Amino acid sequence: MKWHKSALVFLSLVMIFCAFLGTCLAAERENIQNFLEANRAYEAGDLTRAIRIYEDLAAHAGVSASLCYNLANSYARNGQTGKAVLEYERALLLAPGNADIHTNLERLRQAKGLFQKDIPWWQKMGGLLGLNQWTVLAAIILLALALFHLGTLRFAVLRRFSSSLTAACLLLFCLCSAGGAIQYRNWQQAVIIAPDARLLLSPFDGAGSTGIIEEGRLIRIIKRHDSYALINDENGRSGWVPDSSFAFIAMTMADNKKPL
Amino acid sequence: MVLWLLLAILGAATVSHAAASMVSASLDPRSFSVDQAATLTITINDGDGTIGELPQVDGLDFERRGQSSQHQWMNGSLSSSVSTIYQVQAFRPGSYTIPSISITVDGKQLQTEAIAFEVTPAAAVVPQQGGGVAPLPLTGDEAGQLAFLRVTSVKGKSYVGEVLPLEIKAYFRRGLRASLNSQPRLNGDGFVLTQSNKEPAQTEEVVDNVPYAVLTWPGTLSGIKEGRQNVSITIEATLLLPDKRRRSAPLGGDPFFGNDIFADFFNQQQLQEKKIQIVSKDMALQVLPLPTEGKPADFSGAIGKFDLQVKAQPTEVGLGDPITLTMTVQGTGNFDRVDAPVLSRTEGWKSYSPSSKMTAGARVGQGSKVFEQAIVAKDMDKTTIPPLSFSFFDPEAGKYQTLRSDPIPLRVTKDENAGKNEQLSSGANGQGASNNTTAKDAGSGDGQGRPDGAGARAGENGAGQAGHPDASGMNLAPLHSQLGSLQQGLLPLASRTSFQIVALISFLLLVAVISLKIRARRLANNPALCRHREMVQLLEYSLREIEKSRQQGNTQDFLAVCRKAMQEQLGFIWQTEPGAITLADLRQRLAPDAELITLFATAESGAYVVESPLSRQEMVEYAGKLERELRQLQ
Repeated sequence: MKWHKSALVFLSLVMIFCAFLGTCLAAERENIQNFLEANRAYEAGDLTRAIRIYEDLAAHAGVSASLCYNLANSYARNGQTGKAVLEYERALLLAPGNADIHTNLERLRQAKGLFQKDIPWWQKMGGLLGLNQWTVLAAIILLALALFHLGTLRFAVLRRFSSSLTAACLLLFCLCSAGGAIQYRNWQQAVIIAPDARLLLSPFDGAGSTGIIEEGRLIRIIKRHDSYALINDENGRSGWVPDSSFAFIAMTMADNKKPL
Repeated sequence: MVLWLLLAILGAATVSHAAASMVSASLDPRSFSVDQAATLTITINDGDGTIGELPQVDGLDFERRGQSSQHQWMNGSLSSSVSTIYQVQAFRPGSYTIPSISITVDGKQLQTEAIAFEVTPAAAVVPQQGGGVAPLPLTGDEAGQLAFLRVTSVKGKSYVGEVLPLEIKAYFRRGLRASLNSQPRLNGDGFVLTQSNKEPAQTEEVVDNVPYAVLTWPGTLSGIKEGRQNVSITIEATLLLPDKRRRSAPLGGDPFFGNDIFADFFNQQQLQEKKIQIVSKDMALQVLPLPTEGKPADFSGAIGKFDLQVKAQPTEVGLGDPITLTMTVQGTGNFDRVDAPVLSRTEGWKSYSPSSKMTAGARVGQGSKVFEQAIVAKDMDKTTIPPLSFSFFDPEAGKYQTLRSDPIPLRVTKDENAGKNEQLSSGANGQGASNNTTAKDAGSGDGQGRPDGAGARAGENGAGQAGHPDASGMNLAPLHSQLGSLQQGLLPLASRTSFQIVALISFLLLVAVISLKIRARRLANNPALCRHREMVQLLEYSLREIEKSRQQGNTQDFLAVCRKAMQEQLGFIWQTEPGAITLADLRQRLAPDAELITLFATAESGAYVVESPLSRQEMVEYAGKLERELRQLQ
């Protein structure tokens, strides 16, 4: 009687797991179908429809490098430079080494005159890997070092070998941390998405303007005041802009559900 | 008698001559304008004299400026003179006479000669900007002030963002020494005051016959908050005023080491600093919101009066060659809000971001802004560059205006060198093919350069304006066909809790392992510590054995284990073989009254006795004592 009860519980759990797995697979299949449908709309030149489907997918299912890239392409072809740059930058965060993303972002910037200053060598080195890759690498090095030393408690290892390995691991860990810190700066950037954004002298309506800031420019937020932010652009210009004129590259799902 | 008379006449003449030469007064110059001053010098030669009160003359003002002394040794005789200097100012033009001034020299009353002079009208006054408009008369508040501030009249009503030129004038009574401590500052938060970085212009003005030194700042006011507001301007200055306390002292100076004496000697005047804040009258200004009705889609916030000129070069290009549009917006208004004009039709055109250069005009708010923008024709069938439009709000008319340029004829060829050839030829003839077109009224078509109404342009500013050209010509890499793994949001891995836990565990594990290794290494390098540790371990083992044998109740075994434990612990301490330690050794090496000797003796005797010497209770007490003694050895 007792084993009957146990079997019943086990079967219930298996059924719940299977139902969950089925739901997940169905959702994934639907996401893929939507993605392909948006791709077809893009190829057919129906950019508005393609953008709408990509945006819905990103808001409800999440983002991937390919989704951000395809959405960016749609924006770029639709003339929405700011949002295109934003999505290319997001795609680059997820897939830093992807050549397609780099190429299209570069072409878009050239076409729109959004030229960037040469970045110093140390920033180039930091850009070899993405933030997550640097972080994972640093964590792996730390864990491997810990396991190695745990092993040396049980098995005898040459002291010189142990010291050299420890020093090398710590050096690599520091390099990974530095790379991660450089990449983390990119995660804190935002992109101007409003086509008529202006740098204002003060954070309120009707304040004097110090100039136009082009759509698609990368900016950093220095501080916030009500619905305005004091920003600094790639060329060192600073001023206040309304919150509605830019979007952060890094985001949560809640951010992504908000209309841009 | 005759001789006495001659001598008396000669003596009187000599005295008279001496008296005449002892005091004198002179005025320099004898003719000056009301905005200038003359210097009156009263000189006393070879004597100690006191100048009495200066005569009161209607329309004249005397101000003592200092005293100087001169000593001269000539032909064996010493001569000296003391000169007192006054500044003479006239309030109005006319002929004046300074009457004789009474001076007491060595107890004698002497008089200077009267001085006649002319005061002319203020011919030297610098003409004022705007055609030499006569300054307004002094108001009641200004009349008694040494300095005051005026702001040229600003129109009472303006729109948000509208630039209102103004002139700030600070008036200082002439002759007053003053220094500025601040730039003009606006009181009130509804406006922004913008000034040029240049130094203020310095002029002189006569207001109600009073001469003033005037500092003038040109600037602009811009309303940033709607509604009625009171604003005023403030500047801070330091005035250097004569120290009246000292001047009014008896005999004109301090009785003890009076500074006036030394100051006068070095031709200085005692001055005191007085910090003042000069505030202009409140101006009641009303700021109106911009109307929403008829607002053009491309309105960027420009308010004022503007003209538009557009040039394009070259106008004969190869397909894909850039054409440079030079767009000049000139006029009066808030140029910071003036954006580049936009193409009315962008289909088939690719536009680049425009650059701009601002050139300020002669007056504040005037100027011209030149935009250069590259555009590229994407089709060969283009025959004109479409009109460019620029919208602004005209505050005088109270409505939005849109300027529109004429279409510029264009020829697009397949020849890639077409544009280059044309540029060369245009450089040669000085005119070239550049098309210069002036904005004209699109609605009326009369070509007078008047702007049309905003409504005329409504609905034409469709999608794909200059800011959003179709980017299909960018040759983008193809779409990705694989969706990839989706993730919720785009947050760094390091900010996720699961990753943080793994990283923390790795870190703690590493720290723990390294700590263990350090401890093990320290132990290995310290024999005393090792021995102590072994001793402790041995003791714990022995105590466990003692407890086991006690529970079994076998007295012989119990005492044997106790004896062995004592031997082992003492052997560790004495570095000898434990089995060789006897009661004699204990008696020799421990204190005579040591408890351990008694315990060892009991254990040794009991080990060889067949009959149990200890009850269970005694075993418990024995074990307790032994444990205490052995732990003390640690």
